[in-house]
Amino acid sequence: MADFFNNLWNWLAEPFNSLYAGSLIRNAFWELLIISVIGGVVGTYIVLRGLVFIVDALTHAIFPGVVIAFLIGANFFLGAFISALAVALVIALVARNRRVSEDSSIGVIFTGAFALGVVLLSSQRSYGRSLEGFLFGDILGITTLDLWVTGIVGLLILGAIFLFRKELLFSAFDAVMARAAGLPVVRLDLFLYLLIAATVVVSLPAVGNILVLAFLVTPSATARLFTNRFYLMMPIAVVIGMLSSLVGIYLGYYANVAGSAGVVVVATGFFIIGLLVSPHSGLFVRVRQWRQWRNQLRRASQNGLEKPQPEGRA
Amino acid sequence: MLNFLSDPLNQVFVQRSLLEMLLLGLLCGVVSSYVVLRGVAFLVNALGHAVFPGIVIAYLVGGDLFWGGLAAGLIVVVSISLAERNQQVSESTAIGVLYIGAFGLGIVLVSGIKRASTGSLDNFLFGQLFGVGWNDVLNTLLVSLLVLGLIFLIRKELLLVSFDTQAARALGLPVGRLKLVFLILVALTVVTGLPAVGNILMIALLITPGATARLLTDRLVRMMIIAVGVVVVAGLVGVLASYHLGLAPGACVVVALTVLFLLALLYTSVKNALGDRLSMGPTGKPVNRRVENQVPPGA
Repeated sequence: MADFFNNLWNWLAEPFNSLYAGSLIRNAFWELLIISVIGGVVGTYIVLRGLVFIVDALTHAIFPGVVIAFLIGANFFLGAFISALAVALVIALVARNRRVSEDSSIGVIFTGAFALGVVLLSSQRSYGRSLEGFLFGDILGITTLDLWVTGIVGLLILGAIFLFRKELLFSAFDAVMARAAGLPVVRLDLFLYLLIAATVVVSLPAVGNILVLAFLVTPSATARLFTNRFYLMMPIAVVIGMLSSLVGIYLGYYANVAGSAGVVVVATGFFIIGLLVSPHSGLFVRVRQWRQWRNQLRRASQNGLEKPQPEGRA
Repeated sequence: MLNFLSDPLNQVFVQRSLLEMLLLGLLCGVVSSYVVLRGVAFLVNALGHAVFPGIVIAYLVGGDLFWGGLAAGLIVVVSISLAERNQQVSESTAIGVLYIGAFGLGIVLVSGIKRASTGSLDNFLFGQLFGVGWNDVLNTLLVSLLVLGLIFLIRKELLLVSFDTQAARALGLPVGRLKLVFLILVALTVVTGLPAVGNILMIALLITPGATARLLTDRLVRMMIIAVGVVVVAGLVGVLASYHLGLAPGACVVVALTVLFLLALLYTSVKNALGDRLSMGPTGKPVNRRVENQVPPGA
């Protein structure tokens, strides 16, 4: 038995202690943990406020900014941040036109921005390789400097959210009520976009700009399945994000699966499990409720109390 | 100028890619009109990404990318509609979580084949417009005929559902099933465009033409004609730009499409702004039509 635990411990510790990749994997692990914390907190507001599509657009839309920064040798973070803000602004402007619904204008602008990034990048020779780096990141290429940047920006994001937690909570639950109460809902949304853009940008080197959506949305959506309480949702989301990251690291080490994509698949697996076993609305609970209801009906009809009406017919 | 046009147009591969763009324009112009009216842009975006793991699996087992992509797209659409039945999951959350999960699965699978052949990932994602063969064109023709024919058969139901879902439901139309049929047609359209522009850029072809046309007209048939025209013009501009500047062709077409959308937006905004000023009364003072058309009190 002790032997078994010893082997297990060795198996679990091996990726982090391995001679060649150990330090890279340790960096990757810490980076994923930090991203899980920011993603769990920011994502809770995204899921409750129903901003998933806009976040999706923002994550795609920072692509041209990153490419331009790459081409002119400027700072990545700056390029990504500017283009995220520009796209958020353009979407807000376009959505004011009443002929085109908000979701169509989001779709138009973000695919256009994304294609612009591909066009710009295709002016470089052998662009396929750098393209993949931008889109999907390189989890094993995280330096200590990256870790510091992510950590400090993460603290700033969490601090900003802490300062405005009441206002953000109100507008997340009932935007109409919040507006009626005199809160600047539009400006609060813009503030949230700013924080989301910052999160996407610091996650860029590790997970790339497409898959970051999963880090922002999936753990919080899963946490929503397990609780109805706002302040419980955040820690649950963070823990689910961290667990996914850890399993993703092992998948990457032992099964040679692309690092961040492995984390995304594991997180989606947790969400699907949540759909099945959620205590409030999971499939299993629903089936049990339906069986109880059917049995009650059957008993009632056997006792001759009342003939149950078949469902769905008048 | 003549060389600028005739030089590329004499090349067989350019002719083929233009023919492909023309067919895709016909197909996407019609489908995107319904996408925009029905307001399902996020689902289309999800579908565009979700075909990816199917393509990779088909590639791995040596099957047809078309059927692999179609199957994956349908599986994700059905999963989304199942997930959003849970009252703790909103529609947009279900769409976002499941499509990015499917996409991540595709990346995981690609990392398995990467060692065998490098650089195939961007071909999947962005296609090769200048590399389409006659069989691709023929395939697009057949799928276009199928999808357009089916849309023609259910055009009345689609129109009613697009404009007033509740009225359609009250009239007894199977709204949920119609949505599923429509999404199957969208999935067919996405996988048809795979060889030419890839799955990510197909999303643009399925949203932008309809949105552009919607800015310019209120009538459905006119909207479709404008949308088709928009794709054809963007296709020509994109192919020429890509030929002369050596840029990625599919992405050039999408950038041209987006520019056309922005131009249409500018046109309607300017027209609306000028509209107030053009409706001046004979005295040169602006006429307040709303007041003028009101019934005077006591009449």
